[in-house]
Amino acid sequence: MRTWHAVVVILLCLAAQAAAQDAAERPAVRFEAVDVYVDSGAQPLAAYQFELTAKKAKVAIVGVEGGEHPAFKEAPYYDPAALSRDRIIIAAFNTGRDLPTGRTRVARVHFQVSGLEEPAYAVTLNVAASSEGARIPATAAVEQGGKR
Amino acid sequence: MAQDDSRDNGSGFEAPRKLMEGLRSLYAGSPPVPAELDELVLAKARRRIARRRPLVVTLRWSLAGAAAAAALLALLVFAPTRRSAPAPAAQRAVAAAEDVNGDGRVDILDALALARSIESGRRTRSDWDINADGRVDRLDVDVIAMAAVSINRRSTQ
Repeated sequence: MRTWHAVVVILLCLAAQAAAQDAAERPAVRFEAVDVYVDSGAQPLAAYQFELTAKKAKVAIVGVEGGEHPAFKEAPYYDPAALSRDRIIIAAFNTGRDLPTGRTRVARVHFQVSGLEEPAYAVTLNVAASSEGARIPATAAVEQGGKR
Repeated sequence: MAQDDSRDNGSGFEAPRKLMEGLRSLYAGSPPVPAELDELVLAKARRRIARRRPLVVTLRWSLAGAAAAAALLALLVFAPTRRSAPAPAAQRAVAAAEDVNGDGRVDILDALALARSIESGRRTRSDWDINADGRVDRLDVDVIAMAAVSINRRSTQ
């Protein structure tokens, strides 16, 4: 009887140790900010629309901010249903005269990342336009911001 | 001349006649079983069979229930998809109203076009009243912009 008790105690200790080790190895949830830049060259940028995706990791979009230029400072348009997912479409326009040219940060997207994998962010520019509403050639890029 | 069973001519072994007769009588017929014992065994067997019948019936009903549940689940999974899919004609009509610049797709450029049109004071078309509130204003611009960024449909429709 004592032998059985000892075996049970040892098994319980081993199970507890395994559970503790598993919890220690599990990575903590972290937050990342991703900046999206649009470069319209010499053309003033009046409107943009892009799609941002995060792959290879368990991520969830938790927030969207506007850009650095006053024309796109306000929060852009996005579907609230995209929050808590890994894909979002963001767009904004400005009918004013003060518009950015060259490379400008148009939005900042906050992600919640869980797991060991590093997310791979990708942006696809759907459209960029001048103040007349004409399509202009432009490129989009992402830059990972701070982690916390 | 009658053959004597008590003698084995091949091996030369001889068994006593009395022993041979005793053995013969022992294996001659089946041992006598009392009728009560027979009845008891039969009754027990009947009881066991009677107990098994409901189990078989329960198993059959369980299988039928599982099949019905699977069919219901399949209906629930596939039916909403069919119901929620809008008719292509209706989808085209909505898209046509939101496609302000008429380039065949709904994106932020349509919102920009409508916003510029409203700000410039130009005459706006009645079908640009997307939210059907009787006016073409900034709210309609917002509706178009939100349609452009909707993740449930492609932005370049």
